Amino acid sequence: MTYQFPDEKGYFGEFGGKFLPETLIPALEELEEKYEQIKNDGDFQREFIYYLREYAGRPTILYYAHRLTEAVGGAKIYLKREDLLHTGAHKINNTLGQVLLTKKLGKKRIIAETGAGQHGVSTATAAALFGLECVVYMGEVDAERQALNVFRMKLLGAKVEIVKSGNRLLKDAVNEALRDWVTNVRTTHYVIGSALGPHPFPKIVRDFQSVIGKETKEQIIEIEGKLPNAVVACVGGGSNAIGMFYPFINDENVQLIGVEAAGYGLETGQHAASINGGSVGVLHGMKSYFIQNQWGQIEDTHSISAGLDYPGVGPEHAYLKDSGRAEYVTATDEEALEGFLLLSLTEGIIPALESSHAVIKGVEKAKQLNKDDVVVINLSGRGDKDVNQVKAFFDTNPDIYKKLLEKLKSEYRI
Amino acid sequence: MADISASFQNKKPLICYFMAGYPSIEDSLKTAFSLIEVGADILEVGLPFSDPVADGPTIQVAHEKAVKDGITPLDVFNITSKIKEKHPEIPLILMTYYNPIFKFGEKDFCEKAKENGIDGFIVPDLPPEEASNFKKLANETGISTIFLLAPTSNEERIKLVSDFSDDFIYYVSLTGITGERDKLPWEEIKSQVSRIKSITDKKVAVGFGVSKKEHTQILSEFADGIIVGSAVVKLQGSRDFNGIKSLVKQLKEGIG
Repeated sequence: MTYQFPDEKGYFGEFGGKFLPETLIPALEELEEKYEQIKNDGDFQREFIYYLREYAGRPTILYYAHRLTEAVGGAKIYLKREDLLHTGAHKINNTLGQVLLTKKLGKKRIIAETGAGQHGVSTATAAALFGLECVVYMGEVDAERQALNVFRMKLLGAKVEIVKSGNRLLKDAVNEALRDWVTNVRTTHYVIGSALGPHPFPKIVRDFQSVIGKETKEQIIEIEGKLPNAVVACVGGGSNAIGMFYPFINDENVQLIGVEAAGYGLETGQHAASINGGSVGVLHGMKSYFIQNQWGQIEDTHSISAGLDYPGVGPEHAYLKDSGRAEYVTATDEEALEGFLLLSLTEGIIPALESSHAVIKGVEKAKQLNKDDVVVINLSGRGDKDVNQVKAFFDTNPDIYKKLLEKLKSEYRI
Repeated sequence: MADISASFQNKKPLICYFMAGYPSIEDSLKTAFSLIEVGADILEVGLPFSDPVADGPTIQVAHEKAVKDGITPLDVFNITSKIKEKHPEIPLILMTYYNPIFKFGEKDFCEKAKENGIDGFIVPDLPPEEASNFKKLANETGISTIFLLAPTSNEERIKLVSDFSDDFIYYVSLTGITGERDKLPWEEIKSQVSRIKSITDKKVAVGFGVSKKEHTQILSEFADGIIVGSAVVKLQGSRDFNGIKSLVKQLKEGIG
């Protein structure tokens, strides 16, 4: 049977839907209707493909990581190099698509939320490219941690609104972006940064990101003459993961592995693993898994990687988990740092901390397989943005740095 | 269900929102009793939620503080049962976001609400298309459901919301979030309310931004009821119960 989600009500099984105030429902209906037309419009597709290729730098390489493969001593490891895209991460696939969509909707203003600033920078970039007014909401805590990205967005002509409500993190930035949207819905399109929110956003973002999996599929067949045994991607909201997974959903022999951020460890309660450590709830327009208490109050999250530091997950992942089609594992902060060091040392590629979660669990999967098998890791972003933070972490935790370097020597052939 | 509709018989009710458990359980009870003392016709009881996306700064602060203080739905039900005991004639409408209800269990939530004096529900992030089951359970327990319409709602949605709303429809005066405003888009409100009334015979109460006597004066010309929220909650936060009383008196005067 072929996979056909979301259904006409915007559901992936029991997940998804449209849980937002009435003021926004007509805008969602309009978006849904126009998106269905625009999606199949040849002009839109040609323009989208043009900018992905000429501006963002697609297709990205599927790189055989031979030294990492040797160091691990299991299946062949390939990296899908989304980190080589303009602005340094997969986010640009979505923002270019949504900004082109905004033009077709006849709207002149876009808003976005951002955590670490990656989606904000990517949205500001696309807005500059097409001359749209752009406002980015960012929690005060994140803006302090990522002051350089705030400046980057300003350089690109965007206005950055610092959010001081709630815990002043990504979740609160989403709340504030929704409040802006409810106020300015007639003139404004909300460029949601991940495959989440009310229908039709999870579908739109998935469609724009699925170029990742499509290319991977063609490339691996060309190189290896077969499909991979497993594809591995990190999951915060889940846009890079769904972009990688979606084109493989009907290929049942390809294992789909999502990696959530376990922070200090699931058992500590300080993590951002909604599927593994949360329960079903409703927030930000969707029914999905959330980190919440017994009364339905959304709780604080923690991850070393700001891009995964969100208390929910896109509804399609919730469905893929419950249906058993995909498997969701977790990596702690320390495991992510191990992946960060391992890839830097063996391949000369510094991965984003988000992607480092996928690296370490992809490596773990490769270890369990044979040398003729193939694992693809989605390298969703580059690590330049994280170098300062990692340095500061190792400066204050030299014991962890030492322990990880020793572990790399003893457990891998480096 | 009857008593909410009764409040619309031969008069235009003033519906007053306050936050349960804010700034303390005692203070929120005092707020409720102050509102009733000076003539609030219906109380809208806020149940705190961590992420109130439809609310402006004043009510956000109330949600945040009450959540931080650990106010649970059970505390809120305790508060409503005390109000109902003293004032059985005043309809109580619970207003919250969907997640606390979903997490509690829709059926259990409706039953507990009924036991504790709740007559109606308003859930701003639960549009009719997601509400079939909840409405059925609420109505079976004997609780009304009230849905919202907005300046952006088209004819199709007006019909849908009207079908789902018992007693009355909550018309959101502007595209935006809750909070006091100096001026409201009067012409738009008037034309959208009369459009709604030409499509349905349900009563229409107008809320969002209402905070002054001149507002209630204008609105009472064409609305069936008027809702005030942030203006009350601001005074509630500073425990200004006399301020609450004089505010409600003025708003009532505006209605005439």
